[in-house]
Amino acid sequence: MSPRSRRRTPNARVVGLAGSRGATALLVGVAVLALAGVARLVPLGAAPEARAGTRVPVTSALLACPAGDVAVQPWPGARDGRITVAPVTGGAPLSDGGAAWSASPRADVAVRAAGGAAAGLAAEQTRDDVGLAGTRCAEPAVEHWFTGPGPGAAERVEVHLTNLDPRPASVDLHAYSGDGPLDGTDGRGITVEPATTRVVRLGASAEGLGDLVRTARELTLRVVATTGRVAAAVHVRADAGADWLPRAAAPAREIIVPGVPGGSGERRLLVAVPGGEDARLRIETITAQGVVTPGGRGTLEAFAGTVTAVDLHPSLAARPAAVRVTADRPVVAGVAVRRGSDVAYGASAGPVGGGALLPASRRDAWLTLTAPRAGATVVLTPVGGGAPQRLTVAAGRTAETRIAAGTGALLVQPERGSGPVYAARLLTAGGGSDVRLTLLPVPEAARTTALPPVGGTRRVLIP
Amino acid sequence: MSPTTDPRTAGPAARPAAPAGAPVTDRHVVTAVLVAHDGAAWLPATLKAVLTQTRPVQRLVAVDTGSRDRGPAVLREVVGPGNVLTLPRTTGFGEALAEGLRHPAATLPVPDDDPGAGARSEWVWLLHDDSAPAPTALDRLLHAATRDPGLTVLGPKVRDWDDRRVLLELGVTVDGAGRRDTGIDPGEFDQGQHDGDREVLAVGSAGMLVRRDVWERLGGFDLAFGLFRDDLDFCWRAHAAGERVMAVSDAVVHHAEAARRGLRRIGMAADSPRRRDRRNALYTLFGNLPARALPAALLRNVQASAVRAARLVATKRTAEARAELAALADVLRSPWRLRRMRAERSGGRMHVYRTVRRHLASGVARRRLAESLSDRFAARDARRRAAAERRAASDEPGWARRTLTRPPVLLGLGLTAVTLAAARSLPAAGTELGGGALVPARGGASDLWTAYLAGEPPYVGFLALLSTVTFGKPWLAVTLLLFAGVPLAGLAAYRASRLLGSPRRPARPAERAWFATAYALLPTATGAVAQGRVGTVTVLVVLPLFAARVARMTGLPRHGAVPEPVRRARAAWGAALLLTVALAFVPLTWVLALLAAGAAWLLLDRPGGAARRHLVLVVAVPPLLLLPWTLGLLRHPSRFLLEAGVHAPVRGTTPDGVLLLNPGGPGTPAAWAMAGLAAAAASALLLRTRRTTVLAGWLIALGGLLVAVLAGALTVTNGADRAAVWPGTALAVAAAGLLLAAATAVARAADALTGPGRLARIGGALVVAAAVSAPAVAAVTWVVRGVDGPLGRVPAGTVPDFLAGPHAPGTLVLRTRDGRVGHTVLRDGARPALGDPAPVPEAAARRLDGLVAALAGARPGDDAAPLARMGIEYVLVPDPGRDPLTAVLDASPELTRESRAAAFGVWRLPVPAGRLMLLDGPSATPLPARDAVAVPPGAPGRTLLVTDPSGATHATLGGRDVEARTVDGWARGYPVPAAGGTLRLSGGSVVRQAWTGAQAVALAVLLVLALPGARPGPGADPRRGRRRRSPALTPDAA
Repeated sequence: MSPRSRRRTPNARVVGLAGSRGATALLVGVAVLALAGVARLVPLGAAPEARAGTRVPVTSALLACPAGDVAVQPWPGARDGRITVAPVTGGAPLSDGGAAWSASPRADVAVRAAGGAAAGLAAEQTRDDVGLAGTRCAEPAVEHWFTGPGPGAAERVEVHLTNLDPRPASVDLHAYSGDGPLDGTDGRGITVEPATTRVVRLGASAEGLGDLVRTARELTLRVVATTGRVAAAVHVRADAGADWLPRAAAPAREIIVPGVPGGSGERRLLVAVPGGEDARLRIETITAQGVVTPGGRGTLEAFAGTVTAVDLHPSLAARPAAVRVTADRPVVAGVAVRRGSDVAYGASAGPVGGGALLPASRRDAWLTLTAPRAGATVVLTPVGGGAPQRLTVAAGRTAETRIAAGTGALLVQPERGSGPVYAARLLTAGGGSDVRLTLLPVPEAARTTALPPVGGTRRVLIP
Repeated sequence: MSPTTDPRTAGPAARPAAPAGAPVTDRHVVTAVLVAHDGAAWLPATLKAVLTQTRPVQRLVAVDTGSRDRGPAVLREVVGPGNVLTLPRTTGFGEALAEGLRHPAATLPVPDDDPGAGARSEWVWLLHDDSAPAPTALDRLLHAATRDPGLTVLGPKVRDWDDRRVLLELGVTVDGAGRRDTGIDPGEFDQGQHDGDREVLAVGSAGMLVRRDVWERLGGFDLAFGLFRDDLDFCWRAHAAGERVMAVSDAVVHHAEAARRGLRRIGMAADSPRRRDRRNALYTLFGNLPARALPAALLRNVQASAVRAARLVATKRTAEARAELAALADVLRSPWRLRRMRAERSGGRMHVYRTVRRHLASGVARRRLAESLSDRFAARDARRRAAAERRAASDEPGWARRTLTRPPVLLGLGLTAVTLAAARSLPAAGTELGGGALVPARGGASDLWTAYLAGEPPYVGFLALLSTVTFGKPWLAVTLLLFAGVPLAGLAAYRASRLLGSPRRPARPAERAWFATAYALLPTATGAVAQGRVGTVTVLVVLPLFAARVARMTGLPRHGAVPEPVRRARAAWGAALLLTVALAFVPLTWVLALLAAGAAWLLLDRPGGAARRHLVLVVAVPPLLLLPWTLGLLRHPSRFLLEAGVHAPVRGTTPDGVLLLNPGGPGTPAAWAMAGLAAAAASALLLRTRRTTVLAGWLIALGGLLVAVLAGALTVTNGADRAAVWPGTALAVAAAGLLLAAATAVARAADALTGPGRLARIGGALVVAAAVSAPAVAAVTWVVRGVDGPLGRVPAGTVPDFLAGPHAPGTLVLRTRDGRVGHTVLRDGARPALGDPAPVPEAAARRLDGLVAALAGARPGDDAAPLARMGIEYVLVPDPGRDPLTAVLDASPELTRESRAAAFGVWRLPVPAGRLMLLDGPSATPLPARDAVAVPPGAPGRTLLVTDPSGATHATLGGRDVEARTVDGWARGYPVPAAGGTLRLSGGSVVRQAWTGAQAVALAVLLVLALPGARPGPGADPRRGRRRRSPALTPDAA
């Protein structure tokens, strides 16, 4: 067939169909319905699930330890890596290796770790002079929260600010007291030179928040580095005993203060409500026998910008416990403990998560574990070798176990399937009415760090 | 007939002229040679004119070169068979003359009336079969010859054959580029303004009077010429031999110029007259010019030929262009012939050149251009004046009112008003216009060109082209595209709607206007404008034009006039060009076109031949034209679902909306807005007539809907942006199909409205109301809501201008959005071009991702040095007040805060960095970012690192190429010797630049092929008997 004679005739089938109006209308209707069905089945216009970030192992760590008995413990099994312990102000390193280290330096030291040893590094300082005071060595950060007694109720409250970076840092102190926020121009712009520790005594100078703070009995301190970052620690010398204030977790609506020790003595819960709005608090103590609400009260009204003190003693009945504070606004809490001739301070903390590391201590210790929501089984493994110990904590219960002095470093790991576990450690020295104690938090070992999802895109240029 | 006798003679010898008043004896013997070639139309008049001369010729020889008409019969009848010489058809003019003069009739003895008066001079009078001398022509010529015995070559004044008053030539000259120039304006009436005998370079061979001995001495016309320009060459040789050539204005010859105007079919040779004419002109010039002037003339003629050929190609006269170039090739191909010609003309050449030079024309081309322009304007002015007079007489409305009431103008104005009312103050945003898929276009057109040459997708190239037209400002181009897009789409749809009607019932302006408005205000269109989707808006404008071209190419609709094959081919090229533009902006359109072409081919019963070729052309040319980018598309097929600009997520796509042609998202009306249109299209299925159109429309609609539904379900990742596909383009195509079907229904309903039958009227009213509701609802919603979507003003201060330096530091811009940190690197304190970031090698992208994650996640460690090695010195966070990154960057020990404003926060890395870094062991120092970098001497083993992935690709040191090494897994490093030196970097890929040039040429060719060409001149068709005077289109008017 020559191209010219091959006229383009429509397809025969189409012609046949096109002839009948009803049939075509029906066909078109069926097609449209089919499309409608398909459109409902497929995820049309669904927003894609957000990509999660990644977690990478930590390869660099930096800690500042005050002078005293310092114990540095890397995570067991860490290969390659270097831990350098040197005075903060510079000088020859006191230790340079990959293994655990403990000594008693006279000056503040900076612990720098690089490589595999940096993941999960734990360092602790204790000192036993006026009373037993201990703290976990601080990591430089932009913001720190501390809750404890103020200069009105303690003899001396000192804020130790350590700058481990090569550039000067500038720090602001914000305080909330039992009577309200201590706003003013004092306590702003404290300059901390590189490689120095600056000690600011509260109430003694303009930098230490001036005269206003001298009458405060309870204090919640927020240390903010506006330039650079600092490692902060607060030392409280009370009329009987002394201790470091542990760093509290960032304000949240539900917080747990673990490790309130049993025994006699004052147990006071201090709850601070940062911000401008009042909060309604619900306080519960989680003891070995279950959850108890102190005073049987429902909710407690806490004013904005103030620290509310609650006496826990009656509800605790000399049992070790953890305190759960639930509020409708983010709050910060801590606990002030008095026993024997010493004071100890605890603060809200996060769960043990994937595991925590307790450095070796030559003092007796009591490990308190609380499982507020779901039951948990915790495995305590001595780092130096030895049989692991399993501890089961029922939901809504607190369990306490003794760790004898000399046990060495201990690995605390909840088993898979356990609920969140909150832990704290009480170091004691001496005995009887002369017991000296300090409360140390057991934070989750920072073995990995979360990196946010990233991507290259021009959309950054458009709001 | 006896020659007039005179007592006094004047002969060829240098005798003084007789005193005035004394009778002059005519001592001339004139032999007229008439060459005839298919000239029966003019022969009778010519013969009559020759035979009724006041001073008759003594001998007449007629040479017939193989005429196929009545010419030979006429000649034999009038002149007598003894005087007619018949030669083969392939005989040239010169050869015919030579043979004619050898014929016995040319040497017949002529009785001498006055033997004692002196020697007689023999003259040869050359005549064409279409040159009729005036009765006194020969007398005047001989009079001039007698008056001045030194004249040996004389020519008459030539006037037109048809219009006896029009003056054609009085002497001929040539310019340096071989153009034949008479010095007379075309169409000029002879009012005596050129009268007066004058010496010229040459006279035409029609009516040329040559003394026979001079003719024989010079050998007559050059036989190799054949036709055209042999007279010019002869006169030039006459000048060289010392003879003088004069044009006598008293002698008039009427010449039809049949050979040159193509009215006569020349049987001499197969090549075209134009080619022969040009070739002969070149031979004349090159043969007669002295050697010293030859090279310049050669260059000039080659250039003139090239320019002329290009112009002819551009106006679609390819045959003439071929002839032009072939003539040049002929001359250049046979240098021996040229040498022989020059050898023959060697005598007196240099000498004559000085004389002849003053006769040579100059500025011919300029004059011709001015003439043609003034012709065109004069004609237009005349038309306008006539129309104005007509209007004044008939009281029609003025120009302004008539223009403003034309439907397209009203439509355009209306849509512009709607757009401006909806967009409110956004069109005035200028360089701050951005948001959604649009990155603000700050910078100039040159930045866009640089970006395109650096490897950005082709839509950047098209935008660069558009920006070059809009005064070099990309923001103007973008504003124009976005806000003039809707009116332009409406106008394009109006133009395409011409094809909607049938000859029996053409589409009325109101229906066409409805069609155009409904198309222009589709939810896709309003949504695309609100979301800054420049690509979709461009495709919406291009789509109706593409559809119209395809319709013409395939010959649909059947009932219309069948376009000629040439127009179909042109439509195919036009469709290919439009599809290229659409492919560059929204690649999905090409996929849709491919599917549609396949479906059309199948449904039209698999046509072969030209139709299939056109379909293949339309589908295959666009990807080939955009080639390296197309390969990227094919390697990552998900890129077909992206479009120009940033891939931004859109919320609001619902299944119901998609079925009703509404892609959802900002700027779109409610889901039910197009329900009326769908209802009208559904009612079209019940019509009895125009079923093919309705079914085709529904088929397109269903296909488009299917593609839209499938595409909308997919999530595509572009770099770091992960979002669902916005099905706007596919829905626009589907809507076009539905509009096609609905148009049929609306036409029928409009007819029913005005017809009898109440039920029909109600039905028609319902359908029309439903159809009109769609654009009305869309317009009202859009105007009321305004363009409140992502498109808005992006304050110019978002990226400060101070982040620049001599070493061109890079700025890392970070922004947290939905928990994800986005980053991009701006270099040179940049003015970013729109769209995707320049393609970065995978390794570099991954490395940067890792570094940014570490920075944003506050991972302790040293990130400053690796970032510096990527050329980054600053980190910028726009909107720092709300971004959590601000706190993280503040805390980072490596960054120092440079400045913090409400619009941006800038941090600086401790290590200076720049585009070029000198690596010396672990340290890296930036060098001034110039193309010639002076590297100071230092340690051996240093490397110069180029941190810009799209930067320099080639380096030379001291004239020698330096081999690049890969540093850090992604960057180019050039080893630097210990002595240092100056490293010259040449940026960009030469391949890419060459390819871009080739693409530009290909696009230009495509454009030329798609545009309608110039029609050939009216006098060029020999089959047409009528002659029309159009001097601008004669082959010579180049």
